[in-house]
Amino acid sequence: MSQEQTTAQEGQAAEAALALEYAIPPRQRFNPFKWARREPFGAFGLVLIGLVVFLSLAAPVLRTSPPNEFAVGPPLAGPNADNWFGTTARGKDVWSRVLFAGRISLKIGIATVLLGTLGGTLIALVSAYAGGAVDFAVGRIADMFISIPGILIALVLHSSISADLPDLPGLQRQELYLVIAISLFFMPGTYRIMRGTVLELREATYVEAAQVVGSSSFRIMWRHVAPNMFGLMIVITSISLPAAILTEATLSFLGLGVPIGGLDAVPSWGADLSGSSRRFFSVAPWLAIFPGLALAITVFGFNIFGDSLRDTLDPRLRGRI
Amino acid sequence: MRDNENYWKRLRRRPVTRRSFLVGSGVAAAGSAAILAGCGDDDDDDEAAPAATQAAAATEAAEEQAAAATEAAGDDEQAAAATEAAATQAAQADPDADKRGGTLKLWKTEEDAGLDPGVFHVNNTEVLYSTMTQPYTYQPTKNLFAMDGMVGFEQVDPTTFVWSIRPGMKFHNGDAVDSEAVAFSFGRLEKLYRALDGTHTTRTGFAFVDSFEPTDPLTVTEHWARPNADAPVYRARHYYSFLNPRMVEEHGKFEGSYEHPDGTIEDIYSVQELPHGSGSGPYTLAKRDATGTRVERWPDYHKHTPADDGFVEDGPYIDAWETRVIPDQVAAKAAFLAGDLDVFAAVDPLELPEFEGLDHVSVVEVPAGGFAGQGMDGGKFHDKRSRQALQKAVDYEGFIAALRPFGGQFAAPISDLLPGYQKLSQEELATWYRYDPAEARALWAAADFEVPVEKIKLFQSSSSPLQFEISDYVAQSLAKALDIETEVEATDANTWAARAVDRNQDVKDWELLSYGTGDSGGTSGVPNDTHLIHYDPRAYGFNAFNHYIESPRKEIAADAQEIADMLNAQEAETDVEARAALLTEVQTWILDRHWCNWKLPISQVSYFGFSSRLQDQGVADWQNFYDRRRESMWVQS
Repeated sequence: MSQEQTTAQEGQAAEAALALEYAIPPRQRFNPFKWARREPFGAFGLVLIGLVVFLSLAAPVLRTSPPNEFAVGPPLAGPNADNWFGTTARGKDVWSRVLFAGRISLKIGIATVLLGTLGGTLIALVSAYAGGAVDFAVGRIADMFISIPGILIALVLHSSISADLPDLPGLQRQELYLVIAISLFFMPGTYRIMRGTVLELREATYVEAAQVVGSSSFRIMWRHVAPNMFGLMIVITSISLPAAILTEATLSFLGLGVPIGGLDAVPSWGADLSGSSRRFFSVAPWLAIFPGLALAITVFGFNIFGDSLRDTLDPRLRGRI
Repeated sequence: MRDNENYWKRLRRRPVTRRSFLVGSGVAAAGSAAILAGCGDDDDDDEAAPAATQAAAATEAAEEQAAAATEAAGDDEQAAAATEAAATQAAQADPDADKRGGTLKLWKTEEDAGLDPGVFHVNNTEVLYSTMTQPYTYQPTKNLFAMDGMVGFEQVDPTTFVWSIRPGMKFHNGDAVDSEAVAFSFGRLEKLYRALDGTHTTRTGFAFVDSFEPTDPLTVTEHWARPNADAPVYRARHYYSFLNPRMVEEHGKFEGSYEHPDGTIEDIYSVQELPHGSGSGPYTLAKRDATGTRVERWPDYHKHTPADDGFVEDGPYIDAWETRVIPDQVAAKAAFLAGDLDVFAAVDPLELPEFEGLDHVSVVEVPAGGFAGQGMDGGKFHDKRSRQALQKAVDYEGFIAALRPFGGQFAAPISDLLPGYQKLSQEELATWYRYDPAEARALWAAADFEVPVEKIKLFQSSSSPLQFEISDYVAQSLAKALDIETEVEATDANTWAARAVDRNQDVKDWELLSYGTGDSGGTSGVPNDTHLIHYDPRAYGFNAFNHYIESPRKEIAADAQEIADMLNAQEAETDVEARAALLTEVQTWILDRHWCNWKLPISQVSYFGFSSRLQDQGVADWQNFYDRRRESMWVQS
């Protein structure tokens, strides 16, 4: 073998080694079992969420009665074969109420978080990218909202706009009020977090490159900045969702939530933990235990799932409080 | 790399993780709670120790004093005699000394919206019954008039009634209570009613009166247009509180004008703030704000000589009344159970086990006597068929099963607490309260609606969760039977009351007015008060339900005139048996015509909670309308 041939072979081997070293690794398929082994708490949270979603959606076929129907059983009957979670003072079936109430919690929670997170992100994107007076003004408005207690905002909205809101498909007037009230509570926080990210991304080299080649501001925001905020958005969503569910329960507990009467009214865990039920808690503890447990399980599920999701999507944050 | 790592290894490697922090916090919180719970009783021991020490010291001192007294007296017999003599002397000075003092602790769901006794009777009775003087109390269970501001009355002829005022009474500012003041107080009720286009007073109690004439300083003569069997009982209501004319003149707020029969115009004023000097009752108003009221003993209160049942010659035993605003019944119950309230008059039978075995409270069972009504807006339901449809669309048996689990009964227009007048049996009443959804739908379809009814809104006060349940039940029943959208709107009691009687427009912004819970309630002793007034086209029939004589809807106007004539006739009948027959006719007419509003089934009994320290409260008086006027009740220290 000549010297030249040897050199050529060595060169090819080096290139091959280099190619191997710098090659983009093939995208790994997401393996849920592997993820579950790595994040057992997250997987458990997901199971709890799945259970809540299933029970809520399948409520009509899970041996339930209309949740607001009176005298389904005797008043204040303890858990028994006919009424698994017992009955209320007016003979309403607690099992049915707990299951159907999951719907309102999930609906309000998801709608709120979508509106709050998307709204906060969008405002952050525009204001931080625009900078200057716009950024300053939006920042102060956010400061103002953060400084007002959320319950106060909800109270003001309840007395001012809740009666005038329209019924939307799938979202009644009172539910829409809740979504708006709770979103306003979450939006400024989301804005704050997202604004920092936009300011960081705005200085990235690829954004500069895009500016140099003449891309419009809208294109840069839409194509280069926004996609890089997606991971953080999911993290914020997962953390906000349980808080939104709890806020809905709190507002319902205070009588500012969904309507609690009517044939088609959907019960709420928060409302069932308040109102006339409370006076019977000491003689009928199941009235508090089951809605409270459902609320706790749902919030716990979302919390630990969100925590694991954060670890998975943003390993830099893993382990930090 | 990370995929191959074990989760638990990774968890161990972290110095402080989010989860370990949460777990640690949870354990710390649980531990703290356990420690606090475990240590909770120690505080009592700490407090008990000095108390025991004090008691021991007091006993020791008493023994020393006794020994000293014995020594001074010379022998035991003399000492005993001296002690007995001292005790007798003290008892003669004030035999009720041990009953005097203390504070009566009450609660209400909302602050008052005004204190003028001629305008409101919502959330203000604790002030009116304590700071004002009424003519007397009437106790229906005993058929007894107990004299307060009057010392006597006489029906001179069928249309002349004469009052004798208690001599020596003063208003809180020192002005004399005389016949001018009393005639003014009684006479202004009709004028206020006219000026305000309806008040909360029972107008049928004074609508038949031509004039109140002060005939001498301590005598007032009522001249009536027609006889009235109930007038004496009506006058026990707090509307007839003696009000100082000078305070109205100096502090009154202009409410409108009243045209006398001779055409002269008089300006009418109210005193919703009830300035000091307005009343002459045993207490004066010391505090009134959003948290509640406090009234305190007035030292110059007149003597009740002789003191009739419920009164005390030297004025009430209790020093002060404190009424807290507690909007939430559950919080009120907790306060009552904790010993912070003396009365909790809304015990649900389902929660009775919670009260059992408690030494510091007692629960008393009384006939329920309440009402639960659904008033129909005559602006929309002028056609009898629409009203009948509504009544047939409610499942009454289901209602009893759901809301009266310890026994329910149908309610007649007149309360069962007046058995001398209410003669309709449960079987008879059942024929009117029959659930028939098919017939209800047919009647609804056939009915004429001047104003289209696309949705039925039930409007109610938010002060009672039970009332919300009642409204919700009715709303669901109507929705099912009539296949119509229903809604329950609840608002605070003051707003509810104001909107209920709002006469600014001839059609209400609700379809049904829900009122009453049908459990606890009482009677003044007058059929009209309990509860014909709900049907009277000159009272709630007019201002709350749009069923009145001047109605532009001719069916309503004709029926209103007919029922008004029937009501007048029974009021004028003084023979009890003859009147009972007339009242049966009135009730039958109301039920046949589905007039104005209808009553839902009520409880058979209700329960009152009293603190054990409250004595001689007169349960029947608490149940009825004179609960707060009982001066002989006292609190154990």
